[in-house]
Amino acid sequence: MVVPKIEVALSPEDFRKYPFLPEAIDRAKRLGITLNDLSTPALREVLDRAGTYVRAAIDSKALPLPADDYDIEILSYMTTLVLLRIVFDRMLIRRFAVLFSKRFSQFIASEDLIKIIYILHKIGIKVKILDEDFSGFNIVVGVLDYIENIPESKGPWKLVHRLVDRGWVFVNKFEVIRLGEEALKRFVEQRVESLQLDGLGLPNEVFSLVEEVSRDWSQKLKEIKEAWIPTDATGFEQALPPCMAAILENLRAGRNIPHSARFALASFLLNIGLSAEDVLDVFKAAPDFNERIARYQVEHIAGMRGSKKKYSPYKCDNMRTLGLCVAECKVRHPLQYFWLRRRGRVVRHEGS
Amino acid sequence: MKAPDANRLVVQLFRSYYKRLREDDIYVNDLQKREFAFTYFTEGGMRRHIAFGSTSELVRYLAEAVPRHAYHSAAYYRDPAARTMDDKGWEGADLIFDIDVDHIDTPCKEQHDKWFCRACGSTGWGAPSRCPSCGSENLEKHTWVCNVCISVARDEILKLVDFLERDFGFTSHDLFITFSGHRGFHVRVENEEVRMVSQDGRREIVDHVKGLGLDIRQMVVKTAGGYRLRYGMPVSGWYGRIARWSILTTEEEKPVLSLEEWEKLLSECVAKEAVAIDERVTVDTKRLIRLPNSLHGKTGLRVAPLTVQDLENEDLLGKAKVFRDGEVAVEFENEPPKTVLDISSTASSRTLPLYAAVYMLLNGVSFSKFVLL
Repeated sequence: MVVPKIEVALSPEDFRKYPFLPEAIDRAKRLGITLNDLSTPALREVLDRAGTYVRAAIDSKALPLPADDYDIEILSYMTTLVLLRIVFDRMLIRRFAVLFSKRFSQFIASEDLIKIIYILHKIGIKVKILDEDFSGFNIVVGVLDYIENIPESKGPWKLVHRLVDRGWVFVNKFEVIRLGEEALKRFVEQRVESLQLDGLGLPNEVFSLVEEVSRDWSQKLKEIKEAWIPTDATGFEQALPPCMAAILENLRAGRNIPHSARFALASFLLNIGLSAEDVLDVFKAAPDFNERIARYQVEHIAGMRGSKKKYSPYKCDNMRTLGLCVAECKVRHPLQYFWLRRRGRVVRHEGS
Repeated sequence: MKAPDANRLVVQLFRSYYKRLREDDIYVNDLQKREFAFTYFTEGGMRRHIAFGSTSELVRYLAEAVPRHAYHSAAYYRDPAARTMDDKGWEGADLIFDIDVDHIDTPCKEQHDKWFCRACGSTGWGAPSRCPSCGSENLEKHTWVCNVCISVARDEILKLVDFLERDFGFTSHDLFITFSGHRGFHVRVENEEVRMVSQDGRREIVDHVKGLGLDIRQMVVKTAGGYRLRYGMPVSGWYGRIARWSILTTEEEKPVLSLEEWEKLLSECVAKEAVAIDERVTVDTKRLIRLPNSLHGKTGLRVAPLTVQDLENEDLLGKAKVFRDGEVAVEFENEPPKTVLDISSTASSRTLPLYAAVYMLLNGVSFSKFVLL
């Protein structure tokens, strides 16, 4: 189906609030400003603001409101992306994207529907307004954009619970804004990752700002890691989430468990700090245990072989799809459950 | 017939098939961006990370190398021959579905599947999940294909096509269906928009098609005397399916039922309408799938491209049989399977069509007599 073209007249105020819009970027590009110009006193504000944005991301604190001058805001946004591209840490980029889209959703909630739809088109969402309401819905979103941008894969958001028709999902204004917020995160992340900086000389002022934020971010990362990574995994069993405990119990009972469950348990245990040897010991209980094969697989998951990448364990959504979820724990990831328990928190869950 | 002779005959037959294969028989778009992988009759293991510059190069290779199994990646890569994923440079993947009778209970398994318990040594027909004698789950299974298996898989694939067209809006031009060459079917959705869908997105598609995570409380609202469906005019999706199902069972246009009745209705509807796909295949964006029109090395059947109309046709197996000409007079050394493909018999000495004999050779059946007629 062809999505009809919507024309919306944008004001300077829109450029302030939505500096990622192609019209805004084009405007800034026409100014012909390069990174070298950022060291001039007139544009010092841009560099300062970009630094503030990146620091907010490092500390996960809300972004300040946009600059009053929309050109300054657009340039600051673009400079922030450049800084993030140079530091190039996926977690930091993600943090900025999250904060930026939070600020965005405050603004967009008060726009009229046509403008909302227009902006969502610009960040790549297939969406249109219906001529007449259908069961109380007046907007449809392309199903592939819908599933990529739902905030959670359960409850009312889950596709199985939605009205759908030939590739379109029916949504209301509130929901389409929420989908837009998720989509903007991905949009910003992709913008940063696709930036080409080859051969770009950095003026000293920009360079020292990059150095400064990189240092702050490394320090932050160190703190995050210290809070989450255990030094030893003794007594890990007391903090296992119900899904992992169930797999472990089946394994110990000599039941033959599916490959997906083995992978889930092995990757989980490796991520909470057990060594490959410890994990192999756990798997010795399997009825078909073959040391050679098991060692190969566990070492592969641990990132000691092949791609040299340590595998992350499945998150809750994936555990559910694989039929390995056994309770409703109100967390998104089995690891989250584990770390909360390790820090002495009680995680309530209902067996299902 | 002894193993080396059997091998030689099968390789000869496979070679004659691959020599006749034409470029038009290769249905792989953006072939230069795909990774290929093969296993062979002459060596163990799989050779991966193979790329071809053109379709004719691939066709030549098949005729020369005569693979036992042939696969290509569902993914598109910048450099498909690179050995690590990072170097390959993932550029998207087709959306794929795998329906395999191995994952579905069928009545015919009693007729042709065999199991052997590694724990206690018992053996028998059927496909139990644990040994009926000692309860161990450590079973070795020998699976065979028959017309019933294929017909069960066909019903699943038709349901899947309904989901893909009515819920996801794909058209028949986007869907590329093949017989798997064994006990199931593959569907490849080739469409620009679907290529970049993430693993999470694909998982949501899996959940939808399998009806996972459905909660009737999300779909009904309280009304006088019970609960009714939340929306009045459901189209497709699970709403549509449940609405139709509720009208059929209650014979009322807008049924009002208790929560328990709705729950029962939902589970009946899911049992009937959900599709038994293998979720791991769909979620994996780096999966290898069988090359269309290659031969399956365990059956000698062709991975035959099919249209939806073909699926509705009765003789699906006919589309996959390659070695149709010729017969073989055989005597079995051991008890033969009761049903193989479309042949049913328990006679230990008989004449078999060549395709059935090839199927048995590939599955290690030993013959005391094997004479090409």
